[in-house]
Amino acid sequence: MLTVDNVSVFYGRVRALDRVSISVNQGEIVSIIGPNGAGKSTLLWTVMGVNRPASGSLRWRGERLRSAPDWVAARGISMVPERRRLFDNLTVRENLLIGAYLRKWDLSMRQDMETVFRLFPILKERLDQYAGTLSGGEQQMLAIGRAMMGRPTLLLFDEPSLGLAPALASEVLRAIQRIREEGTTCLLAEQNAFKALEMADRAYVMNTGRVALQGSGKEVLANPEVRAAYLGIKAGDE
Amino acid sequence: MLLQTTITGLAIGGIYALMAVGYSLVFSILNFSNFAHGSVIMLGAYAGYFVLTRAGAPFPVAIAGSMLAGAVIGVANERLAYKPLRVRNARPLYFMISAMGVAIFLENLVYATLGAHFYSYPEVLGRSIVRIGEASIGVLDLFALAFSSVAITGLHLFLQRTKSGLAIRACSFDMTVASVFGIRLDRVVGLVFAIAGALAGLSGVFLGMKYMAYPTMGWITNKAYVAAVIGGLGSLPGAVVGGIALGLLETFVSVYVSSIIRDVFSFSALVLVLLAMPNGLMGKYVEEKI
Repeated sequence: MLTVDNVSVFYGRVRALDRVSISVNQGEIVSIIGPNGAGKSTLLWTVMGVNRPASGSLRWRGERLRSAPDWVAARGISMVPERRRLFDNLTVRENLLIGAYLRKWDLSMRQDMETVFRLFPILKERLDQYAGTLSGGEQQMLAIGRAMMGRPTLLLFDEPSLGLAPALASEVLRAIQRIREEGTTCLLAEQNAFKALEMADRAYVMNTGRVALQGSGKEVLANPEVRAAYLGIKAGDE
Repeated sequence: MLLQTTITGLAIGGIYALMAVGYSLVFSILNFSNFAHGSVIMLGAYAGYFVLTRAGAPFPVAIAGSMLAGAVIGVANERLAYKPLRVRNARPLYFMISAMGVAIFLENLVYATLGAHFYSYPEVLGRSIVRIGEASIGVLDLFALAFSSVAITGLHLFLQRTKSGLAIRACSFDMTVASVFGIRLDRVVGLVFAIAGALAGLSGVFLGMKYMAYPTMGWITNKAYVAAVIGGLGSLPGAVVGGIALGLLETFVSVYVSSIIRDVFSFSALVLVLLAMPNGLMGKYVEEKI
């Protein structure tokens, strides 16, 4: 469904992505793990059309993706950015409305808001509060809800569990699994490697702008180098 | 005397607020001070003048005409002078330099085509005066107050109640993320400049009626910029509060102290506010305010 083929991206003269190729099939959860600065965020922002690739191509259902976020959004791709990036100056309701910006604001949108509230009931109580006044966990839920409001086919998650208490992080990751069960394909960049690999159908390990390793979630999870580097488990520890 | 001074102050403050809102609206989206705004106001004053005199149209048509002209000039200004910088992610300083260039260009364009002389508006509203008790209040002041209140209330409702208004507010916080949800930045920026331009046109007509239309009248709007900074650049309520406060201050100083040192008070107020509250009365941005 999404094919990223040999994509390189530069920030000034720094190469942030070095001939990266990944693919995402319909209905999958695909996880990208790797340390800070590996290029995970850059890759997601490039898919979204915010970063312009210097070379390589991005294809979505056979169509070449443009480097224009509003155009990409209209193709059914949405995003939960790193550190939420909510509109703090807008209420919870308005943030959700922005998520549904490309749609007609009709009855179906109200139903979708209810779907978001079923997943994150707390948001319903906070509807008229400013997003900036929410707790970190609530903000992450709102960021996910906001993206869901656009009824995306593919949802990109950038570090959704970053900065959250472990219980909240698990809740957020469980929500992602439920979103997938309801038919949305998920591409997930995570530093919380263990959980991200466990729930992934397929996974990529990135390092210094390159794809270092790929395979099914289980395969990558079983890889000794990954275990040592990202999970802190040395061979023979168990 | 007190009532009269207050109404005159509010009227001038209303016009300042109209202009200040234009500065603030653009600042809230693109993070720079659009010094070409004053020139759009100046062109709006000319547009209103010509609609009234050459076309012989009634006053409401002149208002509509100058608002339309302001909106078109505002959008053209953005597309020609700022969009090329925007697509290259230029820093606010470059926008500001470009804005100053546009201001100088437009002023000289008027010198070259219409000349340096002052055009005095025909007395559509007359010099008529309304008496309320002891006070005699100019009809022009009442009109200025009414139009600026309606325009600012309308803008407020537009921003709070409509989908486009919500998009503008979202963009004022984070343009990149707004675009991720399908908001077309070109369209939002265009809309902001159209609104700011229309308000500039409206204020231009009232400035023209009060002080005549002439090429450098855009510099009066420095006062409106001061109002926007006092209120907090980027904040619309701030622009309104700053504009009204400045209008009242100036009128009271003119009446009770001396009109010669009026500007001393205005700029002192600016300095004092910035010393005490670096981001203005209602501003959120502590960063560069140029």
